[in-house]
Amino acid sequence: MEKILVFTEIKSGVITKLSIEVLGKARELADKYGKKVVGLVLGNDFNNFSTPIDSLARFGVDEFLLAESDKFADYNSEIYGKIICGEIEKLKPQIIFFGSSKIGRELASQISAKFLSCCFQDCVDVDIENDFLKAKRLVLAGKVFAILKSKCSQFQVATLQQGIFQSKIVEKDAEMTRIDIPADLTSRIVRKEFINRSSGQVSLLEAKIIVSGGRGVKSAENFKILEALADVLNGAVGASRGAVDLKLRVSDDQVGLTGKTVSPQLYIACGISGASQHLAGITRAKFIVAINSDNEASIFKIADVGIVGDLFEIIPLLTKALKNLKGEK
Amino acid sequence: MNIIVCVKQAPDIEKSVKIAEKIIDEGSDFVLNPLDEHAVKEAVNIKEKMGGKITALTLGPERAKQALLRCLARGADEAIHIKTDTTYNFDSTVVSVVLAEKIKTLPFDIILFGSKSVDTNSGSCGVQIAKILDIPCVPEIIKLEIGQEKAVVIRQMDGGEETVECLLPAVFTCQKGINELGLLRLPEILQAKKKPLIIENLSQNISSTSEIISLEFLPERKSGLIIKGSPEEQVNELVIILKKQGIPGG
Ligand SMILES: Cc1cc2nc3c(=O)[nH]c(=O)nc-3n(C[C@H](O)[C@H](O)[C@H](O)COP(=O)(O)OP(=O)(O)OC[C@H]3O[C@@H](n4cnc5c(N)ncnc54)[C@H](O)[C@@H]3O)c2cc1C
Ligand SMILES: Nc1ncnc2c1ncn2[C@@H]1O[C@H](COP(=O)(O)O)[C@@H](O)[C@H]1O
Repeated sequence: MEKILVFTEIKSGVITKLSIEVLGKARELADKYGKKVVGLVLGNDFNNFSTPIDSLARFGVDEFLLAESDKFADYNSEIYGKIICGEIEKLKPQIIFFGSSKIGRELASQISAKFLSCCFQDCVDVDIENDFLKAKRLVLAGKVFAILKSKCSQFQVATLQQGIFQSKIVEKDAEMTRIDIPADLTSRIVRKEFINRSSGQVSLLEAKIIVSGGRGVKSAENFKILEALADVLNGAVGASRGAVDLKLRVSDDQVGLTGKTVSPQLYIACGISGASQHLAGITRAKFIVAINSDNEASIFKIADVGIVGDLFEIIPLLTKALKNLKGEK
Repeated sequence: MNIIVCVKQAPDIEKSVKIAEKIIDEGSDFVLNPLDEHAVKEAVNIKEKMGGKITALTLGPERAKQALLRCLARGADEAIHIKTDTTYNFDSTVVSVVLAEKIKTLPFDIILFGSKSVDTNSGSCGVQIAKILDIPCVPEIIKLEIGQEKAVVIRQMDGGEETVECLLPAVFTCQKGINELGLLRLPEILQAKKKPLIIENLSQNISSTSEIISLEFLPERKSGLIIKGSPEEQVNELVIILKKQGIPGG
């Protein structure tokens, strides 16, 4: 039976939500086309995981390969790449999936170069046609959907976008196999420091509603009014590059060409001019509302609804109105 | 320091991009991929400190020469144009194989890339070429300090920034924020035309790793309703519109 290998990412001792989604998609394809799903997880000290390692067994995998070493405590592209390549050589999977995180994307590129296969990044849909991987992804600054088909019979690589695929819980437990770790794991890259700069909010990639702020918000403090609005809406707060440049928000929150590509039901752009590089990240948003004091701002050219006004007046009023509405329910 | 910068000519996303069935229409406007321009600038910054030579390298059709001229104007010393048609445009793996073959024939200490190109939206080539050449790679860097044998770089990660030390030779891919581009001056543009630009034809025939089934524009967005009135009136109307969309939900 041909195999689909899924690299399963662990963050602070927990399997990432994205990885569970990727496993779900792999299971779906495996059931449809009669393939086997093998998960590969690299970690340090599995016994002290926040979620017991056994819980991995139910996410739709036939077999889980566990690689444990203190060398895997922090991500290292060369060491991770070496282990994954080694397993791929043994397993000879037909397809290899990663989640489309920064780590997943990097490893996918590496693996595709090692095995000279296709590499489809950030897929929003994948299918298999006569054993060849077919992928749908955004290209050309988010303006165009490309459907691509692999011409490789083995080692076909893709990364799957977050917030799109359904996770699956199955009844059957996966087989757990510990793999041997080579002793000589060295890298030419050494981590010196990791500075946490996450805003700790709901991921923009999963949010149904995003309230995004730009340079017009003017200070980090002022972002509180956007947070208050996002709170009422159960949404997340995003930012333009302009806001990130001014250090009003962390780069994790950046939406656009060099930030995240989001697909919420509602995107509220506040004090964002609508540069093409920003718009590249929101082409898949269902409904866009723009609040900007400049009636000529480009954002109005693509917004479904626009309010020409001062965001410092409009947003608190909007938050209040929505709060009242919720109270009525 | 021998620095190679891999650059691509890509459609100008600030203008409208046209598509001719399964390829980008040649009638589109093309520019040097923005992040690649930052990569060239970073090479110039390194050269200013350490000395050395900057080679810009591209694989692309005839028109890609314009992108190389821009690199030369930005401060690259020479440029190499491997000429091909647009067959491999969306096939990062093949592009990487071709570029790596060429790079193997050149001296290098550092190879710089853009962190992704606006057309493929992949961000694969830099990492792939490092793997093919068996040298380390740090992608999406926002800061680079080069020493004699190693570099200290900061890369963007999910949830933070990682500082790493990396042995040279190495590949780095440049993310937005790494440096600021000044305006190009006329003398620089004129001088570019005098710098060496080597043109080669892609001789090998490499089998593609993928094919394009279709390219399809997302539905075009048009400007919608602009709500008029006092702030209170504007907000009231917006709330009515949002309510129709089921917002706020339960
Ligand atoms: C290679 C490259 C990659 C890039 N990648 C990205 C990316 O990923 N994401 C991104 O966003 N940008 C990106 N950019 C930058 C982009 O070109 C713009 O510079 C940036 O999006 C501008 O941010 P902004 O809209 O917040 O700021 P500005 O363009 O300065 O707009 C601020 C807006 O706020 C409005 N405003 C001011 N005060 C108020 C008020 N009180 N009430 C209401 N409105 C107000 C103003 O009218 C103005 O329209 C990239 C650029 C390059 C070259
Ligand atoms: N045809 C090409 N010629 C030279 N460099 C390229 C080419 N295609 C991509 N690159 C480089 O690889 C980077 C990433 O491209 P991509 O993997 O297509 O997103 C670009 O920013 C360039 O630096």
